[in-house]
Amino acid sequence: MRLDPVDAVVVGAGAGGGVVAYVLAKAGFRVVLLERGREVPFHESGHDELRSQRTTVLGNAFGPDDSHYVRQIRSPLTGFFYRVKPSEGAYNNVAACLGGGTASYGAMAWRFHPKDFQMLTAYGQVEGSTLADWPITYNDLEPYYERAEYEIGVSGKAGANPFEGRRQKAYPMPPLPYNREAARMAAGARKLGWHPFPIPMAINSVERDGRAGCIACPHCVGFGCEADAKNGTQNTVIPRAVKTGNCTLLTEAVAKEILTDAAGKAAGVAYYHQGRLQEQPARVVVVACSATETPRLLLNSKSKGHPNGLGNANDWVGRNLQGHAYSGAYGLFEEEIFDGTGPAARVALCDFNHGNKGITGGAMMANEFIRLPYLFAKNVRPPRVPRYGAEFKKFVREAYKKTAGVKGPVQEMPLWDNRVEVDPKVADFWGIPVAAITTRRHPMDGETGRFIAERAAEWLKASGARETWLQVASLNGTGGQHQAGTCRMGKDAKTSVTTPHGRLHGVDNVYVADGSVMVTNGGFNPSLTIMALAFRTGEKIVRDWRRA
Amino acid sequence: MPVTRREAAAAMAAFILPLEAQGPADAPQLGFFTPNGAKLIEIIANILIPPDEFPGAGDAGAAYYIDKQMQGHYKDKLEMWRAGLFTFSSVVKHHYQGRSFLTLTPDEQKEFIGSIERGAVPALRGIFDFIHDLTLQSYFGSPEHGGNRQRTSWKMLRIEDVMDGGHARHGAPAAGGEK
Repeated sequence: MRLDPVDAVVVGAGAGGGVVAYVLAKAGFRVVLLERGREVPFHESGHDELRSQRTTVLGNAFGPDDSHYVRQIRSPLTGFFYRVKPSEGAYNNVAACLGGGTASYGAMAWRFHPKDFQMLTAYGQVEGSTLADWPITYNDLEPYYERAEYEIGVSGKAGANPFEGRRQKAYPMPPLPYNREAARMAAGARKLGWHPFPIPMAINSVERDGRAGCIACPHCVGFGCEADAKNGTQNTVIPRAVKTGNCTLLTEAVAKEILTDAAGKAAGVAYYHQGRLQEQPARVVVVACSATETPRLLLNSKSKGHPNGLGNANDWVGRNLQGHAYSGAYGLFEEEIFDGTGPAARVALCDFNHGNKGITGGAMMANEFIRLPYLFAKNVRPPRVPRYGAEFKKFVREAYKKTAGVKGPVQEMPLWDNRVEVDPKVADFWGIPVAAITTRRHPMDGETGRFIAERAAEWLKASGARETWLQVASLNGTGGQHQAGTCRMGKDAKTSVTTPHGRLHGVDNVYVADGSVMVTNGGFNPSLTIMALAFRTGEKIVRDWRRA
Repeated sequence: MPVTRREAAAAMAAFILPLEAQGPADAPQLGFFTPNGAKLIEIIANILIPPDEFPGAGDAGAAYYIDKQMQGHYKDKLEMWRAGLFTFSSVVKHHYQGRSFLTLTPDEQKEFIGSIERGAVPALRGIFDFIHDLTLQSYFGSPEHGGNRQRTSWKMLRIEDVMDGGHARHGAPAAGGEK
């Protein structure tokens, strides 16, 4: 059915789409915000580890669900594609619900380091990589970082991170207090001459905007917040957008393709909702579906004027998929350092994001989020401990509260062959061709991973650990929840997908507002950067498309 | 109308009794395993996580967890499961002169599982890894899924309050440390 035209359709109500919908609705644009998932209230997801977003062995509480979605993943062992369900690790899942990943994320709210925007200039080309500078700098994005920190709500200690770029304004809320583990780890880092500080979190440290402050439960990452003290787009900008009266939010609305007119411009979006195919005409289309689903939608939007998919005249859509080569170490302490209070990840340092000899980039390092019982039993033990039997059980029992982990989102080198395609022969529940993903990591990612893991062990030892062991990322694949890079922004249409403001090259009314536009993925959790970029893109859309 | 034991137990639990007091009156039913199938899983699970002061994984409901999930989330792994267990039985019979796993002595059972872990029976690696993973899920996951009976692993780890969430200690003083 063809619906009444609106000013803008935003596809995806996650970190990026929620922000753009808010900026446009506030400026008076009539907006339709499409979200394929549902709103997931706390009482529905609870604290059930086995179907959390952290441990998906019995399904993803925040979607996507196994009965409606599937992907083709190329096996690193055989080189062939095989079908993978959303609850399986290889799927490269990002939550599909109102708020996207921000409903169940750990809520670290990082600004990237200024050098993260200028990797090529800082390090020179790395063989085999498509490493490049962003077309914008940290200073271009700084005002939007500030806006995101205030609109979403971030607690933190301004000036505590000596490696952070120039900041004009303090955080809107004071930092959350250290728990026992973080206090121990901060002291250990200072002994080494490093610079620990409380992690900036999109979590209320005090009551704000009518919602509670954190009640120190440790179930942050992978879960909804029982106190609604964790801030995502689902409880900030999206309700504000709806409240303007200009934004219609549709959940369980699955985009099929972007429609184009005879001139090749976008005419609207076709989507499935309540069993029917709808056509929503719009002056502007914003794609914010994640770095996997955004290229899928663009590649599925083929027409006479765009035979290879929208924005894909030069075969860049879907290329350079990146994630983070998470690496780190665990340490076993003499005494119990786990006090059960959250957020469990509380202390970080940025001493090793850059300037590491022989290495391109690095990572922020932080103590680990809650060690969920099943994940601990499955993954956390030194090589001397067997994985079953009396000795295993004794280790789990004695070590659970005496173990700390440190790890970092190791910056990856972008690769041309790491890509999202669509497989026309495999369809999802609605008959839409699915994403087919091919990834491996650059050898540099392994080197950086090992370097970060060794620093993590050093930090744990200085904090009192009597035994440490490393966990270094494998080179077998990438993507995951921090996926980025598949619609790279740039000034040259031949070597990028969007303009520096996120508009598709060659299609002047389609914008991308998610991690896809990021040229490189920084050594940080990316949500605040995605939000900041979305504020910037949203403002640009308002400037360019405001009715005369 | 007579009240069933299950209804009575549920009704009592809803009032005052903690979970562990529901006891055998609320014993779950098997829908997938035969009694011998369940016994096999219980023995293997008790080798993987053996009883000490705290129950083993078999005693804590591993067979019930797997029984439930093989009819639910893991139902598309049924073929792999059946083929894996068939191979398991065949290999045991071959190694132990026609005897089945259930008739082996506890030491022989442990030794056979150990030989799989050491890589001596590559054909059983896949099914063993799967049983190992499911056993850990059953023992450490939420009791609502059929394992971790009476929250035994959470008691062992002393994290019942943590698993209950922040509301359980809402109002408690915030953690100490640097402000």
